[in-house]
Amino acid sequence: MIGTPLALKDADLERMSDADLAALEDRLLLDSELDSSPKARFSAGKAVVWVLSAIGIGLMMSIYAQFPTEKLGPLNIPIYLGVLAVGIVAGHKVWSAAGRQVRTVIRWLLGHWPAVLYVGAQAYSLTRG
Amino acid sequence: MTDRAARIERIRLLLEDRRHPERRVGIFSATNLTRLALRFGAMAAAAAIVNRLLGSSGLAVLVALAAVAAADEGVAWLWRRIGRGVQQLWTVLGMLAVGLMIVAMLVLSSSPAAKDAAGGWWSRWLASKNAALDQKARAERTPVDSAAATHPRWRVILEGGAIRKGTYEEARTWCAELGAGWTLPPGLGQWPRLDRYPDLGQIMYVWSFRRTGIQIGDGGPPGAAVSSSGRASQVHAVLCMKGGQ
Repeated sequence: MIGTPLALKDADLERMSDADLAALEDRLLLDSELDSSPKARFSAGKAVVWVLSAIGIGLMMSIYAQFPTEKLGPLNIPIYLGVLAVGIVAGHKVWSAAGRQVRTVIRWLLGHWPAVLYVGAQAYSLTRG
Repeated sequence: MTDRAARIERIRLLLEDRRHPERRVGIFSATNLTRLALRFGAMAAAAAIVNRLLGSSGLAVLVALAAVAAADEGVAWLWRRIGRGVQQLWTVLGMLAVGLMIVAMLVLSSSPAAKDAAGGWWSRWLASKNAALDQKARAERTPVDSAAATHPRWRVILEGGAIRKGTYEEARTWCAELGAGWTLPPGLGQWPRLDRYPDLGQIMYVWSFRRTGIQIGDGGPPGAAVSSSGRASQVHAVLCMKGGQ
């Protein structure tokens, strides 16, 4: 059991099992990635959350566009804002529900994006040439 | 460092980051940009060295990947040791820069002589840079076909088969030297209808009588103008027109 992360001392970390350490690291990273305060640390995972939120907004807007919004009258604006919020929340929920393994792989790939890009470019040039 | 030790170190950093949000490094801060420059520089150097030594075969790609990853890890290792120092260094440099600016503003506001000296220095520096640019523009050689640059009603001033550029005063003199009735062309929109316009192979500005630059050169009537910079040393190509005014 991880407990309250901020109360953890170095000795506590040393005593934890590898599985607990991996879970703690993922939890700390996930908390940071889902933190929407202006001073939140930027990370690769946060970029993924933004992309997922943008996709969520796009999906919700495409659904919203199917309804006859002109008949909603003054409710139109609050419903529109609500749809935006649902899209953003959906993006956050997808990332938190994706599972530790998936998040770890995506973080690693994005964390090493220059190397991944280089390998992709080289593979592309090899397959073409 | 083992995987476990590296993970504990990362967790320590994440916990520190939570406990001390004021120490967070902004993504566009000088510290982070320094880290990125080091990281990408090291990776690019590693890839370039492998590419130079082994070419671009399949083996070279694998070796380059290992070299890039090693360079990335190396910079990460180095940054763990120097990162905080670099952050403090940028903080000190930022404070020094702000301090210097405050001192300079105090000196300039309290001493009219210093203000005049600084203003004079700035004006002279700006003038020297502009003069160098004008000199460079004057020295540019643009060869043109003399037949395309000549018409009974107008003439582009050439020198050795190339466009001759000059200041507004020089342009007026050169047109006057062609004979009576030759002047600089009028401003945009006041040009007479002509049966042929300069086709010089490229767009360029020529002086107008109003001291503006007029765009010609595409074989059509001028379609754009640019106002003068006000510098006496500014140069443009020179087109003279007979009965232009």
